[in-house]
Amino acid sequence: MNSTQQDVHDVFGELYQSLTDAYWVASTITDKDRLRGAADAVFDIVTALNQADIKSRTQEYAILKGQVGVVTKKLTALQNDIDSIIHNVSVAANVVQAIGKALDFGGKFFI
Amino acid sequence: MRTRLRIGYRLLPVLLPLLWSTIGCLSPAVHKNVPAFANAVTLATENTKSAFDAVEQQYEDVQAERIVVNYDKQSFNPKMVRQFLEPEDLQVRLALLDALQQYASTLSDVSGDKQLDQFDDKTRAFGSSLQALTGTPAFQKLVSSSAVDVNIATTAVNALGRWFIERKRQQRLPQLIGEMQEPVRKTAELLQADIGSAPDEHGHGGRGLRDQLWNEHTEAIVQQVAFIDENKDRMDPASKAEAIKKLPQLVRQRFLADQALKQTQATLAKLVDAHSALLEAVNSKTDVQAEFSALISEGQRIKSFYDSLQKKG
Repeated sequence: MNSTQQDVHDVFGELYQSLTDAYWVASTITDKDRLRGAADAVFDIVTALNQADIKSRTQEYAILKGQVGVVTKKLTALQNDIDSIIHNVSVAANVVQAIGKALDFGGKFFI
Repeated sequence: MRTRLRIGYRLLPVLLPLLWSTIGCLSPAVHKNVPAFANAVTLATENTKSAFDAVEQQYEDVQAERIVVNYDKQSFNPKMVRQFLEPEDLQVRLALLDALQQYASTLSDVSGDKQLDQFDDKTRAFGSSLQALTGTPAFQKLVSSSAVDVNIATTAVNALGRWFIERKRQQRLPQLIGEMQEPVRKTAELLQADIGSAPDEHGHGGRGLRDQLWNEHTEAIVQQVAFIDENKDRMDPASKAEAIKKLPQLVRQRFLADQALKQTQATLAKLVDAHSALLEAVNSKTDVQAEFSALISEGQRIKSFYDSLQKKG
């Protein structure tokens, strides 16, 4: 909330405070009802200001989520790179096994 | 040949860790700090959700109390019942926190030992295959010289592979964690702005969820007083006493609710601190003693790996 918006908020915040303070000390039901009606209306205005303030930041969250997603994708790519090193050793083991089988097979016929 | 091979075996724990000294030992430092960050994200998520839920629930209660007090004059209209925020406003915030948890989880996987353990298993399997191959009569007929110590070769493959893995981590992790620092800081800043501050005794300085929740509780007290005033002549003494006793409880609830939101702001600051610790772990200058300890550890690890191959053989 910038200073101008906060100033507007403070005006209504102060009004709401004054009305509720007056409500606690009002002595007749008529005065109380009048003050309560006014306080309810100002509460609704302050609520609208708070809603607008919170909503004003919603888009920034969506942008940040995108940025976090980009870094997480790069981390996943690093994880996949490391997995490929592991996979290459696994492939090498399979190749060696296949060579062993081929030699064994060939040995029965040619050696 | 046997003497040369024995010398080679003795030199392995010295030579291979020297490779390690060229890259250092980043991952354990990162991995050690990841759980604190992951916990901070979890806490921030839970507390943020609770904060928004508390404000929404109290807003609903205040509207219900207003309807009760005003019913004789205003009856009821469904338009009197509204939500404080649209669901998507909360959802987009929770989606960001969920994305941060995903980042913490992936970082934990990348910097941890799981992939290294998998690599060790695959290298052992490779070593076993090689051992089986060199033992076959057909291979021995093809290769005239004495069998190479397969276990030395396998251990070298293991050490080199781990070196490549750690090198990749060293090259990429500092930059990636560095890129995340600003989004984490900004996330905490936005959520702290959402939570805002309660008004002072003059009604000034209030904003965000704390201001809203404080005012909602004040409205609840006003509606309760109005309810008592409207009905006190019709209430039995016990009910009247119960209704009046609720007033100081509502004042205390207003204070406690505000304290809970204030605490949420503190947990958000911890989120930034935890990620800063991660960043410091990757950017800190080389600690010679730590590097030397890492060299010794790697040397011991290589020897243990080699010995495990000997036992299997």
